[in-house]
Amino acid sequence: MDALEISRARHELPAPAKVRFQETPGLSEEVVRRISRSKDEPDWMLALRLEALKAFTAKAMPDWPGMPDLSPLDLDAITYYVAPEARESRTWDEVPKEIKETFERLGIPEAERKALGGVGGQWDSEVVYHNLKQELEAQGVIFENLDVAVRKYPELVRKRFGTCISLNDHKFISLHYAVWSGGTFIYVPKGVKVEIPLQAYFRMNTRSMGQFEHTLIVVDDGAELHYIEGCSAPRYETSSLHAGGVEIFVGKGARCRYSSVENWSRNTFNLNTKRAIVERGGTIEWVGGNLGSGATMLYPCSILKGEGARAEHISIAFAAHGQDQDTGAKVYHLAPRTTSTIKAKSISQGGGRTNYRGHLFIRPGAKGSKASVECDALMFDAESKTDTMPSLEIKEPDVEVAHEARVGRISDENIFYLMSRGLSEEQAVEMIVNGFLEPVTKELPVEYAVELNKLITLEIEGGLG
Amino acid sequence: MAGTIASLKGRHAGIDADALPSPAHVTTPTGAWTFLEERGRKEERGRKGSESASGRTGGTHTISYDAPEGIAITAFKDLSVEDAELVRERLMTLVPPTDTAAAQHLRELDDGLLIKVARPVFRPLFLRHTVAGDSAHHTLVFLASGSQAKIVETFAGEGRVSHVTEAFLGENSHLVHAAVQEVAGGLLSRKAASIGRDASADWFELEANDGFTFSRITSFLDGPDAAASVSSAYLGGGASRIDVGARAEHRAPHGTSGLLTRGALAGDAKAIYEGALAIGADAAKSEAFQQEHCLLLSDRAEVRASPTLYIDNNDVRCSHAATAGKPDPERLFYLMARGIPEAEAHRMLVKAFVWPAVEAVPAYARGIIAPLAERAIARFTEATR
Repeated sequence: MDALEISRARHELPAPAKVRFQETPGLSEEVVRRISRSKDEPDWMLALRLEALKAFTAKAMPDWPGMPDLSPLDLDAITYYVAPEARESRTWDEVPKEIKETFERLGIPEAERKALGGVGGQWDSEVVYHNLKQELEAQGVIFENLDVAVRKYPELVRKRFGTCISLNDHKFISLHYAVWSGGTFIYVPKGVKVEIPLQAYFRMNTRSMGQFEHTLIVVDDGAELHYIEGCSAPRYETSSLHAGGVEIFVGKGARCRYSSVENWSRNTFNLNTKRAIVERGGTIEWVGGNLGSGATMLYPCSILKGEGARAEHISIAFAAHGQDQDTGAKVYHLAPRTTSTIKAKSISQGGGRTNYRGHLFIRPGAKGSKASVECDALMFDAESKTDTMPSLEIKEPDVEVAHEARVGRISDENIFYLMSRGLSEEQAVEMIVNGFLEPVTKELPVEYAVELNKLITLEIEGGLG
Repeated sequence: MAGTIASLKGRHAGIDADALPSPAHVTTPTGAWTFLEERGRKEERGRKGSESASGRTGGTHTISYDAPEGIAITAFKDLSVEDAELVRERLMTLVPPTDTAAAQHLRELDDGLLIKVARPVFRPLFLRHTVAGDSAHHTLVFLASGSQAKIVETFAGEGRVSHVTEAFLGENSHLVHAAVQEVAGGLLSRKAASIGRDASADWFELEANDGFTFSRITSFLDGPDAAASVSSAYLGGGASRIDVGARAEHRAPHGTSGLLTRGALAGDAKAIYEGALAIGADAAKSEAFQQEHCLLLSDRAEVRASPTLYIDNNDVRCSHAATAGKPDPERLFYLMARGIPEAEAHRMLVKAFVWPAVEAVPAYARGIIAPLAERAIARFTEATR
């Protein structure tokens, strides 16, 4: 059956915003210096950018077995910095009309109206709109554009920036550190529990733009935070690149949940790096959905540094025709009695390919640690592909480690059963798929779960033709 | 006598073993998963050569066997013209010399056995390999349509051995291949089978070598309704380095495969398990599963496992599972509370953990394997107490 073109019209139309300052394409020391100067950054940040540029130039492209094809990505044709016309705004009314329209189409004001916490919206590398509720400010919670935070909270930022993910880790994080722009800085002081999820929404607009936002989250001892991210980008012929970085520091006994639904357009290369370091008794929860982009390589990483630290990874990946979702999870058990659970679900359809690529490492001495990994892959048709490439390195005997994976299709019997109760075939498939994804969607806030279900329904409907 | 070993290798002439890459291995952020470089397999080997069935560095590799009726066994040096042609055509086709270890094997190969099975044979064929020094040996097995054979290979001695088994299973033929490997020094073992329609290959392997073990068992399910199973166990003590992997490639519909590996590591032993299930686009209605379980008996033992799946058709059922951990202290206590001395209780727990791999051997071959496995486990637990 033909895979119909999925209706992404709501997200795809580029809005004609006036661009204030756009770099020439390609990367050089000049470009990096100009970026730093335009942000009026301290010297240490410029030095870090230049070191990262050196690392980027020296490193070769990754060459992993079974990785998505990155050859269409032309790093010299990408524009590495664009600042839109609008300055950062405090209230929704101040945001320029075109930008506001686009965000309204994407549903942000509705979310805002539902009294979530402060909402940061990113437009072409700068945070346009930012609103932080008074209660959070009074508690000492900082929720700020990272460009601004570098100047406003230098000690806090400098202490942590670049220490969770090293700029030498791989080529695309080196690139990221050289040209990073925009993103969120969140600091939650000791013992403060942020009840309302904080969220931000990203957007790429200009043809051949790269998106390099950096998120830095510090949840101090005993504190709690839930942060939500969602992304969208309009469709262009030339490739777009997203090489963002997310660094999370979870203090002793603290808890951080990071939810993100990534829905970039089909011509995007999503090469994001996310990592958390968890201290004694702390917990990190990663909840993720990867729906869009032509090629994704994303492996949220939890480093369980303190005794009793915990990590939970829950993710969905969806690949339709022309998509290659290479995602997974990495966990490093570096202390005793650390625990991790990974639940990864994937759906591939119409020739799409999903891959679970994971790494579980247990260090000698990490006694009493427990780790479990569960990957389930659902394939809709014979053209789809799915691979599973876990790796487990266990260097401590006093542990419990279990890994399992299953691959299959929707059983005809289940469809028949539901249809015999009056549902159409589409409804039956939708129901089964929602059931398959339920362990993930139930962890997302309601409006995200609803949007995710709707998006997946759209994708499936396209496939059933 | 149709020509020399050299002429049998003919079609692969000109391969530079030292220029080829290491056999495929997993690479993670913590490094490459291979012990081959550590072992220094690339060291120069003497090129003296000799007339006898010896390895190039003067090792000996003798095989004693007692061929049951219905199985024709010929050494490579004694092949007829027709058989030589057959060997020349098929040698290293299932284990291609595209990596340095396989190419070195081909280069150093001095002799091999051609085994042809024409009809169902119920008496097992025992091949007892005794090695001293370095050697490279090959076994080619052809099962005609409708035939059956049970081959039990044991390896003992001291030296560094490279051994390759390639089996070609005709329609509706059935092979049970069981190997117990107890070489002190090191063993590079690769086995592969091309399985035709309705045919099946059941592999059993017990690795209890002192030192270095590299083992790969690959089953190509080439015909519809083919079946393959691998049941393997490894025991590593002292400073053992073990690198085992099983692979099932489904290339036709309705295939079934099961890969089961259980290991026990003590002392400073380190093991790598690389398993793979690959389902091709034409292999609808296949069922494949893979399991790997490792028992860690000491603080310094390490295991690395990477069970992988490559699925290109959705109308299949595939799963895999992997676990690692230490013996359950409650079970040990239970046995000791019944008056069983600790050493004996420990041996029983290790045996209980590894034994399912033996039990997976088809009944008509299990009787041969069980005592050998029993002995190897006892030796392991004694040495690693």
